[in-house]
Amino acid sequence: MGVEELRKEILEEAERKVNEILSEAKAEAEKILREAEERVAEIRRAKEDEARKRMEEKLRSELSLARIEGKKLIVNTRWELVDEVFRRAWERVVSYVGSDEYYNDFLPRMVALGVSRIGFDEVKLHMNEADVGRVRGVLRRFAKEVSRRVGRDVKISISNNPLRITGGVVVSDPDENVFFNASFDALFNRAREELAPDVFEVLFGGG
Amino acid sequence: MSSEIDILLEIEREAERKILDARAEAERIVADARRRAAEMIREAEATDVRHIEAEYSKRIEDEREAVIKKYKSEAEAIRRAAMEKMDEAIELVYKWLIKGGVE
Repeated sequence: MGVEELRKEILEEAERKVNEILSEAKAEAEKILREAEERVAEIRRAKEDEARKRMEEKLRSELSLARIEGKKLIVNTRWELVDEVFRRAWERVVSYVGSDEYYNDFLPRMVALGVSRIGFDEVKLHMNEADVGRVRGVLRRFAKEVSRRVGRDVKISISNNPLRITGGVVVSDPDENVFFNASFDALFNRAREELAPDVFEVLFGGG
Repeated sequence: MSSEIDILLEIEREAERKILDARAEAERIVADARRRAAEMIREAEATDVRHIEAEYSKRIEDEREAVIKKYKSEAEAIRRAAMEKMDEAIELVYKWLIKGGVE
């Protein structure tokens, strides 16, 4: 084999080797970029999924809070209406105090009830200033009416210390050890507690 | 004879250089691909999801308002129905008070 032929063989072999090296490198590079593209798609999908999951959770949470707010509104509306009932009932009571029926029926009836409850036939009455003045003026007649309702003689005195109450009466024994509170103020507080369920039933009950 | 050997040696060296150059080029090609891949992944890590957040924010607002509106409507219906029973309820409380809380 001559020099020229050898030269050609060596250079052709080198060329084949060079092409093989470059070809493998390009294949390797393509594989790297393909895998990177797959990874990129995975990462973007994961980020978007995470964002959607986070926002779904926020949506659920906000709607839950909105429902709680709504239910509170319903509860508050009901209680406002119940309060309105008691407020208007109180207005009627305030109008009733000082009426003839109040002095001729309510007060003697409450005193008679007080006498039975505390178990004394001699009692002291505690009222507001206006009622003290009015009842004191007709005390004998008043005591007679109370005795009639009780069914036996009842001795009545009136406290010299008027109470700051809207109306009604507090009945005590003469030594002020035992009390029966029929003031409208105390009755109203009891009414709020005892009648709230009934008021609810009337306002919001079925049917 | 010796000049033929010199020529062949020179040719071998030239072939060797071509192969070394090819290997260097191969390394550069692969390194470039790796750099580009890393850059693509970095960009993906910084994917902007604000469009998703904006879409949901609108939805949250709309659905929240719908819930509140529904409850307001219900509260109003309760109020209207209760007002028709108001007098009956007031009478119940007033009569109880006038009776002194005694049934």
